[in-house]
Order: sequence, then structure tokens, then C-alpha cells
Amino acid sequence: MAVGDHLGVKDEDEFSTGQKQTDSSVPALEICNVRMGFGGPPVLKDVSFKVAPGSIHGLLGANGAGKSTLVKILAGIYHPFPGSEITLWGQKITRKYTVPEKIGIGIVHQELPFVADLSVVENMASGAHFERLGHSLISWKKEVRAAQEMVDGFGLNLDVRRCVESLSQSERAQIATLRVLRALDEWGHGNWIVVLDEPTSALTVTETERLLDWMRGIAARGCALLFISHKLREVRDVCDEVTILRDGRVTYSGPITAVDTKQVVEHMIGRALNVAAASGPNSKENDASQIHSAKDESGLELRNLCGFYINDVSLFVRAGEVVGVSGLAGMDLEELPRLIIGEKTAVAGSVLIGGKIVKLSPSTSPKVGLQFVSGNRLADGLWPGGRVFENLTISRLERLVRHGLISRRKELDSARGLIGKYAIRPSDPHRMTQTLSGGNQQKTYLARSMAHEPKVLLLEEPVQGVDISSRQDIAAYTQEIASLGGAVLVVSVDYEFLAATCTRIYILSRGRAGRTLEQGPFSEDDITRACLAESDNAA
Amino acid sequence: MQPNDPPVEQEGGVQQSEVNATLSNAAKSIVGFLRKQPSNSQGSKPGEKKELHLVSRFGLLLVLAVTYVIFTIALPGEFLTSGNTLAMLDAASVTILLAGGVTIVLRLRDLDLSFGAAMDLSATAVAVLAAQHHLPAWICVLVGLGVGTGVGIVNAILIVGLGLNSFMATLGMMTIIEGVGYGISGSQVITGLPSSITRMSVTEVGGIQLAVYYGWILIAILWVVYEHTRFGRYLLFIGGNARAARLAGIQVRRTRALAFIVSGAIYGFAGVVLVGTLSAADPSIGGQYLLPPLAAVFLGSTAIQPGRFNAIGTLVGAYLIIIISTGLELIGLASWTGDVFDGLALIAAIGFARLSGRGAATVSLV
Repeated sequence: MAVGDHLGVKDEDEFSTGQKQTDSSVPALEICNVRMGFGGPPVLKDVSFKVAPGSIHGLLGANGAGKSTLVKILAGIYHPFPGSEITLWGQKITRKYTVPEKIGIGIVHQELPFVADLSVVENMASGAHFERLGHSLISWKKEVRAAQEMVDGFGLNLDVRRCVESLSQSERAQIATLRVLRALDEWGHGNWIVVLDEPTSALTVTETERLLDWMRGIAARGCALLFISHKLREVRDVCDEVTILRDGRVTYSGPITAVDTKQVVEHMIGRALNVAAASGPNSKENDASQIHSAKDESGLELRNLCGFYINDVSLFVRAGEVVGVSGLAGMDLEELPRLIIGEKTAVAGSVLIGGKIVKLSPSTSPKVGLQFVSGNRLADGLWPGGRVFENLTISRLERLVRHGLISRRKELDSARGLIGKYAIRPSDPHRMTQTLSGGNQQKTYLARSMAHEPKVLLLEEPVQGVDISSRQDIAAYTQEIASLGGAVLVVSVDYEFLAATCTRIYILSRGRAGRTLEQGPFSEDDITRACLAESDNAA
Repeated sequence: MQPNDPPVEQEGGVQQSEVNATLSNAAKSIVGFLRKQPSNSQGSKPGEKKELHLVSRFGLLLVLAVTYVIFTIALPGEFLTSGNTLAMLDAASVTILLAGGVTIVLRLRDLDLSFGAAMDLSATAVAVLAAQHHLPAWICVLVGLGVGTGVGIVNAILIVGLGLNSFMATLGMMTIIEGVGYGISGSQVITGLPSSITRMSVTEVGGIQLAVYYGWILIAILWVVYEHTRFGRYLLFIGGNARAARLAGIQVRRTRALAFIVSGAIYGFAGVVLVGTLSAADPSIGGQYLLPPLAAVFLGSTAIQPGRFNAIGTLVGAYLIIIISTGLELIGLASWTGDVFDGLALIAAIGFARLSGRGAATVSLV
């Protein structure tokens, strides 16, 4: 590991002390019988695997398999049950900790904790170990030099004095990685173990390639990388070994070359399956003639829509249909609804409602009969400090007017009607909205949009953070809107909800429309399988 | 649901000797008026919580009454006189107009510090035109309203159009407007206003100056606007979650801009009233009208609809402040204590607002 010379003088001594331990026979990170739960059924059940130095180890699993719980255990946020063992370079961790870098694991979280309008060098400086002038003054000159040397040494072509804001997403991920490497050095851990938690989920295709290449370079320097992802193709591209989790258990751990895609999917969703079946009789590629034949009766149609992540997506939803858009969680799914309502500007392509091309903005979309329910109810939907009735009626006040003024009686009647119909509990319209449970907040938000009886209803993750009984209610309301003649488009990675509601599902992968599942009902597995297969195929 | 004609207007034909009774009647009828509000605001809560809720809604009114009684006892024959009561009503009228105007902006969770200066510039402009250029009263009044509206438009451009922070932008505007006021008045107090201007404010109806009624009418109008118009509703929703408001189809920018412009027009009107009651314009008086209205608004947010900037609460807050400052003055404290009191009142007001406003308008901008 010839990286010490890229670091500050002070770090070099510590670095060399760490180097003694390097021994390829000792795993860098060993996880042994880790068990963990939150009161209910255990989330992790005797998870064990080893990560070798100088290798990239993939951690795969479907949503809810326990990947994030494991990352949080390594980050010191959760504490596993007694009997669980985590060993670094042959040394067992015995104490609880809050700074993982202190004990020798660097964590690059999915949400990169940068101050966007500060420079790279300021963001990289980790506070405790600034380059000093004398005792207490920070020497920015030395700090910049050290950071620039490190950035250059790791093959990044950027000026550390640039603002983080101006960096691309992959550069940010790289800088975040360098920051944890530096922190590891500063805590005296010359041998690096770095956990990358879904670093590619916000990246475009070319940026992903760039980051994966760069990761190989880091591993070549002796760093042990644990790469968390649910994209098969990336794991196959970059990893030496893989551990697959399903329902909190390790179903496979070993070289990636020893398993083919079919086997990986099988380990992930736990059923022998035929990947080809997903593209069999039930599904087919989009084809333009199909879309055009459906145009007349379609409530919503997208034609060759392009955004930043979304690339040439065409789809249609007829009046009376519930249609899903799914894939693996990523920025493309997040962008799609925002392109439709015009919150983000489409680079190319068009949105049609009732067969007519419409140019929408958030404030005009309700006027053409489109209602959007965001997946983030507290940020995008509700006024948490407002009363339930105020949240229910805010978008329909013009209909509750008598003699030119809003009639409180009409308003409360309308709110009580919605509270009854959508089973919002407690049923008091004067309740502060923020005191409601997540499921009831979500129903409040949905009820407001559904009260418009929209021609087109665009739902994003409608059951995120919602309890089971509310899930069922929400599925029923969704279908009711369709039965009233609305076209409903559900953008979600909740395959269970999609399976319960949709008659057709478009699978996106890296912003492109892949296969389409036609003629539901589908099972949850059908959808999972199609999403995984699609992500594996995508170039 | 409350009657649409506000009770304050029912106080019309009262004899001057009965002014004290008038005030207490007004208080009573306001309370009665508010009771008809959805006082089941917490709906099906058990009785004791309801009582707590009543205390939090009407506590400030109780404080007002207690303060009134204390000063009446402490200052026998001085405080509880019709002369003093009328003086307090007069003194509060401009504060109420300004405070009412500033609630519009505060409901958006924006801040406006330019109101005192805008009012003063409007008053100075009216005085210059009426006393020095002898223009007809209606032109002067229009110019006064226009000055305030103009300030509101500039505020809207800076804050909504350019996206500047409202605190800093209106702080800058305040100083600019003050400077302009000194410019157009030659830094002089302008006196000798024609009676056509003063008459509009000091004419007495039922023994009370018109200026006092203007404040009450504004509060009544604001109450109706806040509770029963879309504009009023959108203000709070935008203040509570601007993103959600935009996605719900509300024209957020238009609403915010309108809020600054309407409040500017109200400051302009306050200037016309001020120049009428003083029969003079002083370009340096704006600063005195900065803190008391803010204190009134924040005190008001602890009452009637706790946690929200509301019209009637603001009225109560303004009267509480004027009662205390008048009482302290009558007790004979040195004049510098007035400034100290204004500052203390503002800090205490935002302190109470913080303690009581668990919900909506917990005033994060202060």
C-alpha cells in the first residue's frame, strides 16, 4: 500500500505502524453470527461473511433483506444482539462506538453529508486534524496542499478549492470516500476498510462507470471495500466476491464468478425461477404501434420523455386503468413524476392528457385534471402545523364558497365527509395534522387529491411508511379512482403494492423503459424478477 | 360561525361619559364574538383539556383585564378617567393599523421591518403636499396610500422576485425610506396641515376619534380575510409549507407578492391617519413605531388562535402594550424607560409566542 506519501507528514508515521498488520490470510472484516432485531421478528439472523483485503465485496439483497441494518451496525448506529462478533484485521470489536472511523471502518453513506457551498478542501477537513499553524490556527495553505496531493494521488482531476456544489455526483462520492480514508489515517488505521452504501443510486450511467473504475483502483491499493447495491450488473462488473442476503439470512457468500445471474436472483428472492420467463408471454418490449392504438382512450400518455435521468420513456395509461412504473430505487423513478407535472423541465418529449399535448407546471396541472401525490408527504404535501381540515380543503377552497366567502360549515362538512370516507383517525377535523400517524397523514394527503376526482392521478410511493391496514385502504382508494374513470399511474418500488393494484407495469432501468408486464394480476415475485433481470441487462 | 358584521361597529352611538363602559362592552362583545368561533377547536377532547385550551386562547385577554385593574388601583383618579382611556385608544390606533398590516407578512413566515418607515414616509409626503404645496386632500391621501403601496411593491420585487431574505431586505428598505423621508421634508417637522386632512382622523363619532375606528375596522376585515378567503388561507399554508402549497396548485409567488403589496398599502393608510391625528409630520418618528406593533403581533399570536398570527389577538396585544406603557408613564417613570419597555415588551412577546406556540407559527424567523 503505497499511499502514505500522498498524505500529510504527520500521518505517515501512523500509516507505517498500521502496515505491519497486512497479511492476506487475515480477512480485513469478518462478520460472525450477527443477529439484530427491533422487538419484532429478527431483522438479521446469524449473518456471517468475510471481506478480504484488496478486494471488492458486494452485498446484495432485495428491499428489506437487512442490508441497511447491517450498514447501520457497522456504522455504530445500531448495536447487534450479544453473541454477534465483528472482527477487523483479526481483532474483535468489543466496545460500542459512535465514530466508525475511530475503530477502523470508513462508511460512505448514501446521503453524502457535504456542505454544498463550501470547497472540497473545507469539506474534507475533518475538524480534529486540521493542518495547523502553531497550536491553534488552521493553515489553509498546508491544508489545501495536503488535500490536493491526496486528490491527485487518487487519480482525480479536480481543484480542491472548487465548491462541492460544482462537482458531479460521482466526484462527490469519490471525495466522500477520500474523506473517510483520510479520517481512517488520522485515527491511525493505515489499513482501510470502507463501506460504500449504494453510492451509485443517484448516478447516471457514465458516472456509474467512472465510479466503479475508480473503486477498482482503491481496492488495488489494498483497501477492503464492501459495496452495497441492489443492481446486479454493477456488482457483477466490479466485485470479486458477493454476499447475498434474503430476509436477514446469508443465502450465498463466495466468489461472484461461481454464480450466474439466474442463481443470484434465486438467492435474492428465494425461489427457483426462470429469468427468461419475465420476458416471456406476459411481457414484451414497448412498441410504438401499441401506444398509438391506445391513444384515443388513454388518460395519460408520455411520448419519448427525456429528463436528466429519464431517457426516452414512452408509456400510456387509459382512463379507468391503474398502471405501475417500477424498477430498482433510483433517481430515474424520482424524476419521472416531476417531469410529468412540470416541476422539472423535460429536455425532450411530451406529456398528453386526454390525447392533447399539455405543458404543465405544478400550479397549472390541477386545472387539467391532474393530481400528483408525492412520496414525501411532509415535504411536498402537508402543512404539518395545520389542522386536518385545512390540509384537506386547501386545494378546493373555491368550491366551498358561499356569498363570496369560504363557508366554515361547508368546509367542515366536506372535511368530515373525506375523513369518514377515507377512514382518517382520529376523526376530529380540528386535529393538528402532525399529531396523526404516518398512515393517517398519508390518507389525509391522498384524500385531498382524490376529492378532486382527478382525470389523471399520479401517485409516488403511496404506501411508504404506512401501516398494514392503511396500505389496504390506500390500494382500495386507488382502484376506486380508476373505477370512476380516472387514469392512475403509480410510481413505486413497493412491488407488493404494485402487484395488488396494477394491471400493467412498466419497468425502468437506468432511466430507460425496459420490459412491460402486461395483463395482471402479477405476483410480487414477477415484478421483483423483472426488475432484477432488467437491471442486469441494461447497458 | 360568526356574524359577518363585526361587533366593533356596533359601538357607534355611545356617550362620551360612558367611554369606559364602551371599552369593557367592546371587550365583552369581542369575547362573545370569539366564543362563536369554532371553540370546539380541539373537538372531542375531554373537559379539562378544553379548559386549558380556553386559558391558552383567552389568557392574554385576562392579562389585559388584570393589568387594567392594577393600574386603576395604583393610580386612583388618574388611570380610570375618560380622558386617559380616550388617549390610550387614540395612541393605540396607529399601532393597531401597522400591527394588522404586518400580520399579513408574518403569516407567510416572512418578516417586514419597513412598516414604521413606510408609514412615516407616507405621512411626510402627505404633509409636504398638503401644507407646503396646498394640494387638495384627496390627492394627498392617494399619494400617501401610493407611497405605502410602492414600498410594498419594492419589497415584493426584492423578496419574491429576487428571492432575498425578507429580514435583511426590509431592514435595508427601512433605512432607505427613512432617508428619503428626511430628503423630502428637509429634515424638518412639517406642521400646519389643513383641516381637510386632519378631519379624516380626528372627527369624533360617539366620542371616539375616527382613527380608532379605522384600527377596529382593519382588524375586523383581516379576521374575515384570514378565516374566510382563499388569500388568507393560502398565507398560512405557504408559511407552513411553501413547497406543498405550490404542488397543491396555489400560486405561491403571486400570493406572497400580493401580501407585501397589501401590507404596504395598509402602512400608507396608517401614515395618512398618523398625520391627521398629530396634525404634523415628523420624518424621525418611524423608529418609535417599529417595536410596539411587532410586540403586539407576537403577543397576539399567543391568544385567540395560539400559535398563529391572528387579527383579534393582535388587537388585544396592542391594547395590552399601550395600557402598560401609559400606566408606567403615569406612575412617573423617566422618559428613557419608554424605550426600555418597548424592547422588553418585544422580547417578552416573542418569548411567550415561543412558549405557547407549540404549533403552526412558532416563530422560527425571530
